[in-house]
Amino acid sequence: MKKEQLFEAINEADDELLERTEKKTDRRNIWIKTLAIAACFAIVASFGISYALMPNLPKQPSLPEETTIGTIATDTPQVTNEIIQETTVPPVTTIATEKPQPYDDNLPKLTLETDSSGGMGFQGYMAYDISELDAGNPWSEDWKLDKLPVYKNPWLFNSQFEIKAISLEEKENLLREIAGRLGLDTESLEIKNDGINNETINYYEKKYGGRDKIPKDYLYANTVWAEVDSIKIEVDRSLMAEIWFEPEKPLPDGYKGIMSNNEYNEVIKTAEYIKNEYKELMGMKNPQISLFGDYGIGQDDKAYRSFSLYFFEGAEDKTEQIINYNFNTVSFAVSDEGIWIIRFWNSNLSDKVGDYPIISADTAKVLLQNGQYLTTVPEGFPGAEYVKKVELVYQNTARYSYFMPYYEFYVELPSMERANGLKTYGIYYVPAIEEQYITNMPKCLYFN
Amino acid sequence: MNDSQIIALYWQRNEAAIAETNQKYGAYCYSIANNILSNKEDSDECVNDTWLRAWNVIPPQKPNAFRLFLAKITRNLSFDKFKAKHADKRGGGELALVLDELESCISDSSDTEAEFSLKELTESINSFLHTLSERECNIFLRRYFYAESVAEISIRYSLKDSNVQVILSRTRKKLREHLEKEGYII
Repeated sequence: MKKEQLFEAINEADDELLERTEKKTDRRNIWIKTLAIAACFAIVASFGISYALMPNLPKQPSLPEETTIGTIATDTPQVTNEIIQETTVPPVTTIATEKPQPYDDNLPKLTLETDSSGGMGFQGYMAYDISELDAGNPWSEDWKLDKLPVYKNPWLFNSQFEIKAISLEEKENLLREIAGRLGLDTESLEIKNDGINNETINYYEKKYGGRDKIPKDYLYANTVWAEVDSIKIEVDRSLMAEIWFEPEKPLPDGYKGIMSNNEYNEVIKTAEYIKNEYKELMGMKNPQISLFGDYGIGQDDKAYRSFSLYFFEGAEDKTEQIINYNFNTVSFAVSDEGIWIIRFWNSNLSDKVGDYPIISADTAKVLLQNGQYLTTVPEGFPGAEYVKKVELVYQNTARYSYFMPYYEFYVELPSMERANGLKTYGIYYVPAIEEQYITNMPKCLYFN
Repeated sequence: MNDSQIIALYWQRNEAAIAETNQKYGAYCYSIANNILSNKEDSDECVNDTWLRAWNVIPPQKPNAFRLFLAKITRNLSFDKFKAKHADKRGGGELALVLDELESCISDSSDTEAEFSLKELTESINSFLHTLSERECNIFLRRYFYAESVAEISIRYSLKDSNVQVILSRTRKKLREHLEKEGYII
């Protein structure tokens, strides 16, 4: 047998297995938030997966006086392409009446980023009722916010999925800090990394005449880790720290796992326990629970609910609450055997671009009706009566050069309701920043 | 437009079927082609050929999973093009690595040129895939069906590169054992 024949034989892998590969794991961060959709549809949705794999995606010409955040403009015909399609939007009679705030020349204009997932399904969640899709977002429609911050992302992926702005030392320091919180001896930790090995370093040392003369890029390591008994601590390319317990760290009697658990009461009980017991490890004074549970369809065609558990630091200030919820969270993967993985999500918010005037959720809804949205849902917006919920969220993936706020609309998709009453809610985004600061306000922008 | 509506257009011999398919699945099929070919022009050509192939087989076919039906056509056409381009030399890009890894499942066997039915091998591979855990199977297929890079798979499943590599390595070992057991390699 030849390797080519083996590769060809894999071409006929079962469709159900191939579809399953497109369901992603428990990241809740919004542009990577991808949860299961009915097996008869494409499964996953994401704004931020594979731009790097799309070399044919046209680049937005740079605008000298503007901050070019994104790569895709949508309001000119030449950028319409096979990845992003504008669809026909019926004219609407309603227009936004909210008066924009006076234009601030000091704020650079922003270009929306719509990182394609390469057609891997769409972002949507299944539930019997919208009330089940509550992730504990502290933002409320009642909040009257005039402005929200936009940040430049100093930790941007390069085409090799590396973030060279984060040094090895930073990764090792974070690893030691987490180890210290676990009560481990940080001095005796043996920290390893996936950079080049000693033999290669010796070669470069000779070639360049000393270790300090080797170009820094050559010594770059994506991941550092240390293992102590059954605990493994890793810090990855985006400075996300993980603690792996293998075997799992057991929960006390009476507490159940969170993954693959349909029972909300059991899940919230475990979440409360973790909140109290792991506050210090999380590095939080007042952790707030963010528990999100939607449904997926099992191989037996039955609906199963599964949850993801996050914590974020509570705060008095409303903007701070929003920022804490969207950035720098800690997640727990808990099986019935106990705590398996703890993840500390980090974002670098040190480079603030400015506080931008934002529109209200009501105005955003008018824009949504007017077709000025971004979505991965392969169907047109079905109508205002199907909007079941709105949240305010930030995009926060290392694929984007800026972090900016959006209104996230959960829209019931009537064509996808299943016979058992299980509904699918598709996600449509409207930029929360006032339109006068956006160079490429979408017109029914479908990208996938 | 949903898949059934697009397929209905094919059955009506309405050429809008191709435009609709391109709009909905153009990017998806392009990414598969480009993973294999690492070349824009070749990938574009394979995607266009995919639409032509679909046009020629629908009807009589009425695919249940239209997206994967297209994915498999694109993958086949892209691999044919890859083989044609690299007939006399080792191929480049991600696929060369993917093939080298697959070779580790069959290398050193004494029966590398034996005749066998591709259909039976396909069935055997499928039965093997069903023995894997969901995670192993997903990672295996993202690598060996979609020819994705380890870095991309690690991001897709929130894993470290090293985790993905270890899982792939273990799964290849299992595949080798399976192929030995089934008599494909000796």
